[in-house]
Amino acid sequence: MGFGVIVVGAATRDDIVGQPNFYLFRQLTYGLAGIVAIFLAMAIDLHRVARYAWVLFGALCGAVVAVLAIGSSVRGSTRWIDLGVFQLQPSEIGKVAMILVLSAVAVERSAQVGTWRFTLLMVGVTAPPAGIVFAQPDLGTALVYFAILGAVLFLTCVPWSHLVTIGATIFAVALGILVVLPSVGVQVLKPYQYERLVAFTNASDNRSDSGYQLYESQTAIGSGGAIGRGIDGANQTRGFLPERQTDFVFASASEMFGFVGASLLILAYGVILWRGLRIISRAPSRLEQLVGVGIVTMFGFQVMVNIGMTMGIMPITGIPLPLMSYGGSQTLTSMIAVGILLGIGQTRGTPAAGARRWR
Amino acid sequence: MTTQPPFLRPDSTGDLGDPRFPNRLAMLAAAAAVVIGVLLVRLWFLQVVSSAQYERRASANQVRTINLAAPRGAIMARDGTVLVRNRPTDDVIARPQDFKGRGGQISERGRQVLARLATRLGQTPWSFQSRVITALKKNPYEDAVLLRQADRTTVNYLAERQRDFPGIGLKQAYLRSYPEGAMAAQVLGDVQPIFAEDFKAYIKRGYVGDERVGKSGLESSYESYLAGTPGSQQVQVDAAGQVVGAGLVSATPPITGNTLRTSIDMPTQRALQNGIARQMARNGAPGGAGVAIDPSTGEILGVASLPAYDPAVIQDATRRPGPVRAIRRDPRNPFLDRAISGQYPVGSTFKPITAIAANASGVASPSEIIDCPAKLELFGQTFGNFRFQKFAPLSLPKALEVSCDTYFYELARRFYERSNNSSTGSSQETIIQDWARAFGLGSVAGIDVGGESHGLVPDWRWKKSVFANSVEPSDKFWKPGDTVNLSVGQGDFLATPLQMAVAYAAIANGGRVVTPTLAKAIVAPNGSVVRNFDAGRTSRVVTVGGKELTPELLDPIRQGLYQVANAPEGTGYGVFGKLPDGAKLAGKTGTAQVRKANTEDHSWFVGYAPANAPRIAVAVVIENAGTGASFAAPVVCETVAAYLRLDLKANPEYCGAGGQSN
Repeated sequence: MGFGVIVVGAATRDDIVGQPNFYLFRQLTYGLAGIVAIFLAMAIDLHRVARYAWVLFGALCGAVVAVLAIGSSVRGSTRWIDLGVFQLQPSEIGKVAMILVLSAVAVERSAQVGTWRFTLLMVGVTAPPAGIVFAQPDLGTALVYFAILGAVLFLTCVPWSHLVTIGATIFAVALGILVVLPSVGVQVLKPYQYERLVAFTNASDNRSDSGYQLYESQTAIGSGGAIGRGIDGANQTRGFLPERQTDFVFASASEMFGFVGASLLILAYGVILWRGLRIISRAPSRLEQLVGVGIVTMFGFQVMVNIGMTMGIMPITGIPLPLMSYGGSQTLTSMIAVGILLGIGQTRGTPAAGARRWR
Repeated sequence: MTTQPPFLRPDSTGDLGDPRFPNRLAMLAAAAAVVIGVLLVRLWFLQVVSSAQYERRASANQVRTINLAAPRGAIMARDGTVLVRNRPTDDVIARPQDFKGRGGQISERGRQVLARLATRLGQTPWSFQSRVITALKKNPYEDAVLLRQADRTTVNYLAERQRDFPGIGLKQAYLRSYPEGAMAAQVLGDVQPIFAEDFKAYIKRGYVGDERVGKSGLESSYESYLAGTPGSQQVQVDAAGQVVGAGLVSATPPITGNTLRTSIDMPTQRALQNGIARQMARNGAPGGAGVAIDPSTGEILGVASLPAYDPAVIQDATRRPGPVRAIRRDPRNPFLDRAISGQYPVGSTFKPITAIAANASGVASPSEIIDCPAKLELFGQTFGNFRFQKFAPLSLPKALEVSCDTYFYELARRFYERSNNSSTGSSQETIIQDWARAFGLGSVAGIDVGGESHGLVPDWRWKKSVFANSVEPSDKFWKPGDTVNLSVGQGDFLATPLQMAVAYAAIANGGRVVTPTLAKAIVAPNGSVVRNFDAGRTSRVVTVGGKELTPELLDPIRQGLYQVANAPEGTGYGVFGKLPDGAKLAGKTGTAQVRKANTEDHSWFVGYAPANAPRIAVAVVIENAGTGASFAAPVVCETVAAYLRLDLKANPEYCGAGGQSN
């Protein structure tokens, strides 16, 4: 049932990205590979995976560290490992790994839920990979990791006091990084990161590099109007919009298809989230529930931040739009996540059978 | 537990533990709904409510104003022969606003585009960046020229790949081309892009800023007429700067500049320039120059300075810098316009002025017979005739005819003794100098191109100031030897060929110093005459202390100059003696000694023709060549013949090869 929604998402994605055929075919390839990945992911036995959670965690940490050591750089960021055929971005796949690890740990330690020991363990599991990813530097993906952590903690029913404490701590740290430390001369963020984070507050006065992205993005979206300019009429997208096929793909779609198309796209994401939540509510066990929550959060957070930034209501961070943005790692990750979610949906009502099937 | 949407009801979740779970899930769902809602509302505002604003912004991105260069007006000879015209070319330009980044710097994307382009064009990225940064400071809406005169390959490459180079474009510009090659090269002048330091001044005068403007010569003097009015075009472009479809939104076509018609007579010009070149080649003379003018109006009929160069190589300098560098390194300095800036001792061609000064001041009379010995002892020094020739005692015309130096030394002695100061041996006599200045020597003739030299008419004041710090006190005073030297155009005296032509024109026209001009008319593209320079020509009467050039003063001079060319003993007879009736010439040879040892004398000839009703005056100097008769005189003869339309091919005897007298 969720499957139809995903197909719609995939189809739309190909529509948008297909400007130069290079990207079209590559993204088409990723899409097809992704469909295979969906079916493979559907067959994954989460309980079996959960037993190797710590192995997975080790692999995740190892991969992101390896990127720092041997990865290739694009525009000042080191996020990729060159596999010849394509450049693997471990931090993307890492999102799913993070979800699985956190969920497995939460289930394993379910007896301790509610204690500070548990909460801090969860934070402790998230922080190292997130920190390394942040150092790549990839602020956006690191934020996704923390969003997943937050959601999983939230739905393992950690006491409000813990959540509030963590929230307050994050707020204090953010305040420190953005305001206090710079004022005493310590720069934690790269200048461009800081600039992008604050640029969204005054986009049109600030038509320079970071403000420029937002300015052009809003111009592209706004000029799409109610019904859009069509694929051929999307001049803004093709020439002025930076990162038009990756981070600002939503702006591209909006100029082409206007409010009608763009709002349908947002609604489509709404439907994915809704179906996801529904699957969660019917999931056979705590593990499936938490994995589902992680996936839904990952989608929701990325959609919020990405689309939000193209419209100037969120800071600009390099977070791709799931299922839309060009990029192999991103596409595969999203589709694997969808596959896992669908897998959870399938095992509905027969938790034991589902769990036993592969034994 | 609050009420929940039905889909969240934990119908099959069994004992999944915490009863708070559905509640928290509902909160997550609510958050998701809020996110989707906020995004939709924001989208609504952007795309529906304020769509018009963004549409405007987008179209501002899309309509581009293109400045269209105006073709400059042509420069023509008297008969309409084209000397300078236009050659269209393509410049590679950057649209600075497309490269705008933070704080006057170039954006990251712009840097990449410029780097790629620079690599492709074999330039340094930094040079491109600095040009764009400069343009951003000046006016980001004016194109910045990155590379002038792109070659065919580059033009095709960029035309095909405009999408790969956003913000980069091609723009038609006009270069100058020169169908007559090196003819009159130096006076035509140069057209170059506006220098950065002149940019503001040109903008104030209404220029766009990317024009090529006249930098020297006629191109500079008549810039206001030659420069057209640039047009502009609003075209619809896509983001890569490529014109979309028909694309034209509105257009103001450029207006071609006016044509400058000069007084240069092509046959005269060719005879003058080719003749000098040929004489220079005879003994490897380093330079030469000549001016031909209409003695009654001052119109320049021909003007040449050699070595010359084809001005086209300067226009091509961005692409092929080699030839220009070679010209610049040439020690003979081809860029120097010797005709108007070259200052030379003039030798015996100065003698008519000495004679006029003597006769006007009563020091001598034209009919007085004076000795012409081989040498003369004066003030304890020996001054000899050229090759120590000697002649029977002679009157003024004959003295000019045979160019007797000792005759003029005697005049010098009389001048000096009139007013010497017995205690210092110095003189403050300036009668020769006064007449020389009255003939226009020692100051610019006022030709309508820049760069003229003053020449030098030395006198006691000049010596006093120039040698003020000399250790030898006598250097500061005007000494008898100075007068002797000046009387025959030697010593410190210097003049340009243009000044000598004007001075002889005054002898020819009865005593008026004309203002030499090259411009004859300004003609609009539609053929109408915008300005005619024939009206309002100015001249000045030669006068010293109220004394003008009366026929009594002039006629003996003219007679002498006529004999130079037409009497068998005349120094120029070998060259000019066979000129037909009606084209008889009057003039004077000059063999100017050069101070450098082992260097040949400058060969001079200045004359006018026809002698009885002069229509052309010509001055020619061939540097370090030899006697006036053997090198300069034949050029003058051919030039005069060309202007008077004598058929030298059919009658080669009209102009002889020249003898060895001074």
